[in-house]
Amino acid sequence: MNKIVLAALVGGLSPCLAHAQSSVALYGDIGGGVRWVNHQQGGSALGFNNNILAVNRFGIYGKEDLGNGLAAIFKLESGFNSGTGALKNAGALFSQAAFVGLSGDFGRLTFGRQVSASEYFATLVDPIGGQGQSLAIEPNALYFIDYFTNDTRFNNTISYIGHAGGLRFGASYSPGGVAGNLRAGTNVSATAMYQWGPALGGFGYQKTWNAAATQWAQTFHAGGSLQLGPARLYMNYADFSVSAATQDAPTRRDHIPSMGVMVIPTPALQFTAAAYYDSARHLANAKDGSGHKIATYVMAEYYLSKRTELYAEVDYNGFSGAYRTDALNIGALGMRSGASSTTGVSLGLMTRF
Amino acid sequence: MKRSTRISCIAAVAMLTALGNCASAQSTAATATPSSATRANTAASDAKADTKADTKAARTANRKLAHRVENALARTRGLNSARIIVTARNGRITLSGAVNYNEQIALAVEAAREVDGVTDVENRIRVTGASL
Repeated sequence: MNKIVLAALVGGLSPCLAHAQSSVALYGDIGGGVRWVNHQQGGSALGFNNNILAVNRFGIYGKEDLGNGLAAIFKLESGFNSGTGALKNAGALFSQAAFVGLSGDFGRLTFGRQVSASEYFATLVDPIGGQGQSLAIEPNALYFIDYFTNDTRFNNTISYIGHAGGLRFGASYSPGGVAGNLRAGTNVSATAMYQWGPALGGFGYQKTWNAAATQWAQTFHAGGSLQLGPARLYMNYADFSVSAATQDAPTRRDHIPSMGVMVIPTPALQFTAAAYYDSARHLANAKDGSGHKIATYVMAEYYLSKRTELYAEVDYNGFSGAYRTDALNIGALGMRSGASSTTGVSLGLMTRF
Repeated sequence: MKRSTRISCIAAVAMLTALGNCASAQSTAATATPSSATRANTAASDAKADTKADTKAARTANRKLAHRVENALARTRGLNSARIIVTARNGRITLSGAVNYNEQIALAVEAAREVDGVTDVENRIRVTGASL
């Protein structure tokens, strides 16, 4: 009797089980080579190229169909240094992504460590997809990431991305979890973009509070891309400001126009070039901290197969005024304080799996 | 300061130009009907693009077909086609550029195949970019 009941139960459940299709995929990329860079503290340096073009990573992406177009999704992605094998961010096994969520006709709702809504848009209108590993070729990292923790992903983030026709829109919120303070350590972000034929245009906004809720950083971003034959042109404008922690200090303000182009002349070749201009006032909230910065790069990628490539890259960063002594830049680029420029050249091999 | 203002102006003009292009692209594609594009395609392949007029017609038809494919991709659920590059040649579509998730490649190829006037789809899409 029990057996029959069991059989009936199994029989009743099995169509449901067969319906729930799930998949888990392992993916990643790894690269390395050599990099030469000048005007560092102590002179020029020839070193290992920890794949400057893209984060070395491996990840697991999973999806389970729940029926009616609804699916449960998750992503775990680890970033690492190909030269040392060390984690990209000390202490964070899944520094690049760790989220779970639902996707369906309503859009996508995810919970965990991930990009903010503004970063989501910024990576889509970045000529190299927001994966550059150095501030030398990804100067936009400075104003799209968490300014206070220098983290490219936001922890404890609830993100929604919707899709209707050619319109895509999203919002994300990272609560700080600080008792008695609704601002401390939070990030609020929103984006909307529209794609029509070869053109994409949109905007992003985000505001981040530091852990003590004494300072905020805010970014307004408008940008887009346009396909012309085998090329895609990119244009962006960002307005970035950081409030001062003390009352009499001024708010930092940057105006950052940028342009880029990516061309695929033949299936095996890809060229990318970009230039970012940053006009900053009150760097580090100093009264006389005005300066300019220009960041440019050119790269060529030669594909041996769909997954494996050889690449060469040259980048140049120039500084004037207070930017020559800006601690944040000097730290990120390893530059000699007061240097008016730094040039880098990288050669490498990268494979994706 | 002066220099920064000038550069901001250049950026603003460039943005406006881009928007202008966008608007004009919109009006051309709005007049495109599947039948006219298909006709132009057939004509182009028949005449082997001998005359200049034929070449121009073929080029227009190619552009219109690429437009329709781009719109189809932009509207495909689960696909983010912002970094895909679409080129068309006599009904043959080539998809290059990149997507962020591997599973999106199949979605893009499928969506392109279903567009009226598409005879073949060549897939050269790579998986690159940040985890979104």
